[in-house]
Amino acid sequence: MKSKPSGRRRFLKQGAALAGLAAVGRIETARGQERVKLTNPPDSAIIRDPWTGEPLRDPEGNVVADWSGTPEWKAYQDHVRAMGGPLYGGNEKDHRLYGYRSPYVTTFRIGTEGSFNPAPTTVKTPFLSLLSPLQDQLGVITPAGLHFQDDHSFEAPNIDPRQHRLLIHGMVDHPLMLTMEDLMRLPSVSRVHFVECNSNGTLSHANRIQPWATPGDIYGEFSCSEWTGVLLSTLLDMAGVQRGASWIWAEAKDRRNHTKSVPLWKALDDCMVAYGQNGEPLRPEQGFPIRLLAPGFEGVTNVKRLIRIKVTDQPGLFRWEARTYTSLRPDNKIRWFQFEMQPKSIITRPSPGYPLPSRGFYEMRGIAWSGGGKVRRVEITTDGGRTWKDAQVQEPVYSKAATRFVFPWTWNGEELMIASRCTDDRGTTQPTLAQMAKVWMVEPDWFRKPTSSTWRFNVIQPWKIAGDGKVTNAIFSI
Amino acid sequence: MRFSPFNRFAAVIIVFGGVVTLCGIAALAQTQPARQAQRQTPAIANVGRTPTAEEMAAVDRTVGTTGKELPPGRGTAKEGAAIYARKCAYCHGQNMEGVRQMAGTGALIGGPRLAGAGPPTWAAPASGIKFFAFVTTVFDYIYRAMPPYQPYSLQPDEAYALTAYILFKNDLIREDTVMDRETLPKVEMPNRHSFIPDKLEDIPDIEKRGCYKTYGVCP
Repeated sequence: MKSKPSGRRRFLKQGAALAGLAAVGRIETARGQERVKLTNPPDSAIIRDPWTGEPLRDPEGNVVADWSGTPEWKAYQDHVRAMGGPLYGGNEKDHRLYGYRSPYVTTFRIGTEGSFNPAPTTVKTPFLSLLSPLQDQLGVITPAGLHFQDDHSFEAPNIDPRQHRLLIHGMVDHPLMLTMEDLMRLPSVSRVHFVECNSNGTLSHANRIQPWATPGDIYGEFSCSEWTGVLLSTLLDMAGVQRGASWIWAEAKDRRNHTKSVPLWKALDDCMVAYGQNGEPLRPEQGFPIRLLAPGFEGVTNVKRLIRIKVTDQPGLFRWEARTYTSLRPDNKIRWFQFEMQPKSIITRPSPGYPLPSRGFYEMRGIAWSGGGKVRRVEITTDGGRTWKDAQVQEPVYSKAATRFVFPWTWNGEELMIASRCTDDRGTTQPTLAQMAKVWMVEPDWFRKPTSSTWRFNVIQPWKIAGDGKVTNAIFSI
Repeated sequence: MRFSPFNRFAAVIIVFGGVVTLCGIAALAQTQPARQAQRQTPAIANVGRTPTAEEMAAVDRTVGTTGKELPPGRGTAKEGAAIYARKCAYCHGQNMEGVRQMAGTGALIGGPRLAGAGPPTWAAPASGIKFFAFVTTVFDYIYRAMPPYQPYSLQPDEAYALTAYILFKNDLIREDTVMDRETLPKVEMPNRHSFIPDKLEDIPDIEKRGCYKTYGVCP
């Protein structure tokens, strides 16, 4: 009778497939010069037919092995450079040692690949942009795991902080080379600031203008954290800036060596070399081990993986500031170096994704911010922009940081359009579409089909609430 | 007595003397605690070290608009063509037309157009390197950041050759023009004066530029 052995053989083959990996070909991984190959399994890992003692083989004839528990598998896990490897947080973490969220909380960042069309993304898509889900941000601080990430090299490198150095040179009396330990000895500050990409809210991002666009789709390149580090003025004081200097060049050490020019007045004002974010060291995707923070300035100024600061008397005119972070005018002139992010605000509830389930009381709430300073005032309209009422701006109100605003309100089932408008302590306010069109020197309708990049688009963001409580993106309405 | 010169002179002296005395008292009152504070805060000593010239040069490949940071070396468009075919064409295209990253494919291979388009205009905003105000931006980016994922792998001669080739393809220099640290900064870019503000020294002062008055979008 052959049924028993063949049934057992079939069961064992299936079990083997579940338990381990077939030693098929070579699974090669690379990290620098280290390569880990899962071939030639040790004898203990080979799965054998218990009746005959022969190694089981897969349909191609390769030996089947159960690698779990072997040192080779551990080495593979540590070095694998793919989705699921250590660069993407693949190593198992003991949740008791570094906590976890409830499985019922499913807030995640929105991944986009930067090709400016709503193509579907999968786990294999390299994300150019990971947008922060603003609609789910409950306070002013963005949780570190939900902080937005724009990385033009698509991948955060694995930098050893013990090897990392910060160089300060150029038009200084004493060039300096600092290790992470040196930076830890220096006088430190801890400040709450946002980081925002220049393109946040741009009409060139197709997701942003869709009717289902959530606050994360619209303003997702924005996050706010507590940053801890050394003020750049302390470091420049140690180095001794020479007369005639007016700029600094800040360079990164990663796949792209991103370099940005920053005016010296800003470097001496409130720029910092940050090593801490929300109480722990920077995460690799936020620039571990150190990054430059230029509070209120365009996101591209906050150079991650900072390697050097060169003090000069010229802007470098490096690639991104020379081209990408500029905007074209109808008279063929080009705006560049606009530096500060302007006031913006968004109502997070109600919003697309958070419709109104019934009539009655709601606390309308949202987040406002400005690169020019503190949020002085946030106003809400419930009639499509005809009249505006003050919302309550809640403490804590930090300068150049996210600020909460709330507005108690009753919904009576009517169809209406709501929006928020932020004014900062310099008096700058958000424009309507018509006011923005004047600044851009275009007709308001041009924005529906823009023919060039619409950076710094901080027009009032309206939501349309339908009779059934559904909320949709009503951009271009106010 | 009417307001005589002597009276005026005396009044000024008395007032002046009073102000000086008050200032002196106030100054004394302020410097004591300030001096004490200075004595209590130690100077930052013995943190960090002076880097050597080699260490600084090893991480310093940036080149500014004047070109004074350009490294020694030279190259021509002819030499650059060979390097381009090997190292650049797969991302930037055989004829520098650019390779679009296909949406949804997860492709990392792709790069912008480098030649075949003029400076941007409202009617035709697509542009190659003729967008840039300074030719040093092109050299700097190639030398410091290209190819992507292998930065700092190009030698100065290669970077000069590639820059020369790109400039040649954009009809800015001839095929045999030698690009080196003297000749490169002299190449004028057609878009130099399209930017607002035009003068580099006017850039830092955003208030003077009127940026605050236009909803934060600089005019």
